[in-house]
Amino acid sequence: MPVPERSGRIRRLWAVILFTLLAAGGPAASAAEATSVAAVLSSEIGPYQEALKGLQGEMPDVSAFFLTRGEPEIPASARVIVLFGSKAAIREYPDGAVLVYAMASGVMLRTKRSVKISMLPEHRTLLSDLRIIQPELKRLGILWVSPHFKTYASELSEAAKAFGISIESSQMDDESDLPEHLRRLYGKVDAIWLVPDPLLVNPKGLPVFIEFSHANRVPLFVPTGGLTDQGATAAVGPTFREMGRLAAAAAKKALKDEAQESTIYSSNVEIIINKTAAAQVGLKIPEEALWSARQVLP
Amino acid sequence: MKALLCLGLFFLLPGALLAAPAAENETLQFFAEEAQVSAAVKRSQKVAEAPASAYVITAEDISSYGYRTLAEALQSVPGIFSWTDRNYSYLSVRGFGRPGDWGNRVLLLINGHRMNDNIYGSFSPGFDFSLDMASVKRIEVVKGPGAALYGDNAVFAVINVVTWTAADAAPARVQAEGGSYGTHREFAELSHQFKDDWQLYGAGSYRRMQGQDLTYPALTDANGGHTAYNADREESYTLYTSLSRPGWLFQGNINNRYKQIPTGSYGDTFNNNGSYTVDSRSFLELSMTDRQVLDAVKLSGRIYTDWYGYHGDYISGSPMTNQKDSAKAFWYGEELDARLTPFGEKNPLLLGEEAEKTALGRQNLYIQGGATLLNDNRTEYRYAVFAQQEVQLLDPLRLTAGLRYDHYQSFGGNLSPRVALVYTPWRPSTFKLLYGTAFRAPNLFERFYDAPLNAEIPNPNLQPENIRTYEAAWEQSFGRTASASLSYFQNRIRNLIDQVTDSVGNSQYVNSDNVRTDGVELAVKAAFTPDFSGHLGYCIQSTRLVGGDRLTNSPTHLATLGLSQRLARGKARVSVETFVISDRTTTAGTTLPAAALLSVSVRAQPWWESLTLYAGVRNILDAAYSVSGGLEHTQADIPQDGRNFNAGLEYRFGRPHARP
Repeated sequence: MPVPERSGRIRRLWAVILFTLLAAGGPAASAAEATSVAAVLSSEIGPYQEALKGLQGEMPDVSAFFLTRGEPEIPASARVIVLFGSKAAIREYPDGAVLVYAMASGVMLRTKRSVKISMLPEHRTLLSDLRIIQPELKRLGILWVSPHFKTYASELSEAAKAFGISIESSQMDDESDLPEHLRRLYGKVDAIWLVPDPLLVNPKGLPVFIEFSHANRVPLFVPTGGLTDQGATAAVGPTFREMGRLAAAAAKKALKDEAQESTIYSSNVEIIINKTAAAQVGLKIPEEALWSARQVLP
Repeated sequence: MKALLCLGLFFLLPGALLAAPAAENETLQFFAEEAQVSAAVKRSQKVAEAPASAYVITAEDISSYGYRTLAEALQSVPGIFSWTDRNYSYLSVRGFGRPGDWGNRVLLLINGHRMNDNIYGSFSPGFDFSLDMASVKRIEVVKGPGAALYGDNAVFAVINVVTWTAADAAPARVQAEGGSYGTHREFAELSHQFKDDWQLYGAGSYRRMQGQDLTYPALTDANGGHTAYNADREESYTLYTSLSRPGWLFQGNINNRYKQIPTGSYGDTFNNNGSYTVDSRSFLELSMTDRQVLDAVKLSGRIYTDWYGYHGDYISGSPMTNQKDSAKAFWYGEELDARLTPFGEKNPLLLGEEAEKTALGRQNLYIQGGATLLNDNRTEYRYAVFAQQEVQLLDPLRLTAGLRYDHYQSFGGNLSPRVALVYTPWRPSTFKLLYGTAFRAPNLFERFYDAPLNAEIPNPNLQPENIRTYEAAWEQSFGRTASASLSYFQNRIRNLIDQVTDSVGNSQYVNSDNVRTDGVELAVKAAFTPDFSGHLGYCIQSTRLVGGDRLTNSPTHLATLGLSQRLARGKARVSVETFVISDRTTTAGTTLPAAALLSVSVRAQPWWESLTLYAGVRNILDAAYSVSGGLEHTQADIPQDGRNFNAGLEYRFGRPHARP
């Protein structure tokens, strides 16, 4: 027996009403989300803008405050505060808020309610990509000054066993010890992985790494693409936008009080290769790596 | 249409090119901003937090500025100047430098091992230093009294010379150089890293200088001339070796130096090349560092044995006599320190003890073919206990308090307290208030050298001289590439051990005057770019006998300025250094004019990274520069070297290479 036409119209009407309510609920939920989350950025330079795009791509209505423009006026309703950069991360915030902080490698917040978005790639992702770039890699050297990298180094060392890679790592007291520690690595490593330690990646420390890499033909891998054109062999790491996106995902979980890791590493990384630097250290980049790279610098 | 397109590209393309570098710079800019904060967060103790006024001379400084001796390197430190009396080299620190005190108010360490000998309390920072400068990785200079930790001799400064290890060095390295005054020098270094982190390092050098013909108007030879010919020769060798692994170091060192005496000192016959001295120094030491024995306890310690020998031939008189003067010392000792953290990691407690026995302390003097004038043999012991507590009073405020008790068989006990307050309100700035006392024990020579024929009489009852120092310092970092420090210091010396001449012409060491120094010091170091760096040092001070005159050989102003630039895409480096000293009085009462010396040093790797060519010219303007003579000299002042040069080459076998 066919459905009476009048019943069909009512069903269509209910469907429209339901759809409208759902559509309205999205922005409403988003608006609620936005007032519950605030973002504080240390600076307005490019990396921070990229990170903010990544955050706002997932949470469009989040209010952003730049420390360069003055004191942030964080809404009282903010339950999660997303922080970009160490300057933002080390400030005082309301006790009840969950802090999600990114691009702050030199800082480790000790509060229980904090989540760190690491600038470092996930361990296996890193090792796998390094192997693609340098198939004969068996020994990887890591140096750092900021004490927070010690845990990463030991975790990486553990993960590297599955790849047949040994990690030669050491912590330095001061950047001035860098030449001595690099000399110690000579002959013991096939490549060096430069962690995003701000006490090393600076106008004084980076050239020492580059110089050592070129003079002693040891590939230097770095965590951000912006360092490859300084002479590093290749970069393997998340983009700043990806870090913003991960911060958004962590913020959403925090809003739902879901359990999550205290430190989040990205598996979505980009590879950038500097062919000239690779040639200088005697590294022949396999075709697979060239195809996997987001960018190949001549 | 095509024209419009080209025009568009003409305007757009430069913009695109400019945009790309901006993106790259922003990554580094990001890290630079992060570094400022990270440095503030980092908790490890740095030079800025040390409870003392510290200065570090790196291997790069040594090679860039071409320092051939420890004395030349130390002259770059604000408040320090060095000189030679044509036999030994000396140091003046913060206005105090007595001609003829043989450096016994500065404690010298090699990798923590005490180098002041047990006869004269001396070390010589010139070409007779125990190490070749090519073996030196770093020189740490801590000014101010260090007796609370180190005891005797640490009156004005503690200098620790750190050597290379196999971890730093290429498997082999050689240097060969020649220079003014008929000088040649050869150096060789070998190193090897074994499995299990064992490292073997060895270095040796030989140097010979024919010398200069030196003119002293105040002296006359048998023919009425005033010039000493062929009387300035010097010959020396050094050998150093170490076997180490993390936490352990076994090191040994031998050095020997022969030097003619051209100055007619001690009344010697002028222009007679038979007067000379030979000094030998050697040691063996086994040390351990920071061995974790319990959860909150780390032990450090050392055992050692040392040897010192001196011999001098002094030709004098008519008919000529040859006085043979000699000293030998052999000693051994131990030291044990414990670093405890009963009050937490931020508040470490250091407890220590040391003991030393001088098994042989001999001084001889005889006339060749004649009488024995002195044959003195002594054995002595000393021991010490010390403690130092660091307390983090508040987050930016740190207190360090230390106390050391030394007991000497000769004169009894001495207490040396020390207090330092370090305030770091924000990481780039550090303020320090320092107070400390130190002492210098009278040595065997000062107490027992008995040669009435030479009008030298002993003083067995000599007491230690004491110094009390107050210092206020401000240290400032400018980013990661520059630092500056400004300090005010006041030294008060009591019972100064000084050589005086009595009414009948006998000289004797006595506890005499009290001395006071007030001064201000400025030090600046900067790496303007990765290839261009410099340092600036200035000291203004007044050192006077209490209630009396300005001390001799004490310049009011001292300044150094050094600039170093890499060139040719990093294949060459040029360094320039200026030293300026104001006028000062001599022991004879005359006044020496101010002087400014300019030196230039060049290094290059024109062909291969393993081959480095280097050259240096000191006192390039050939400025006239003299220093005060001592009581043993007839002449009031002793001119220092005019323009002189050295040039050489270095070859490294194997990597790592070092850039110029």
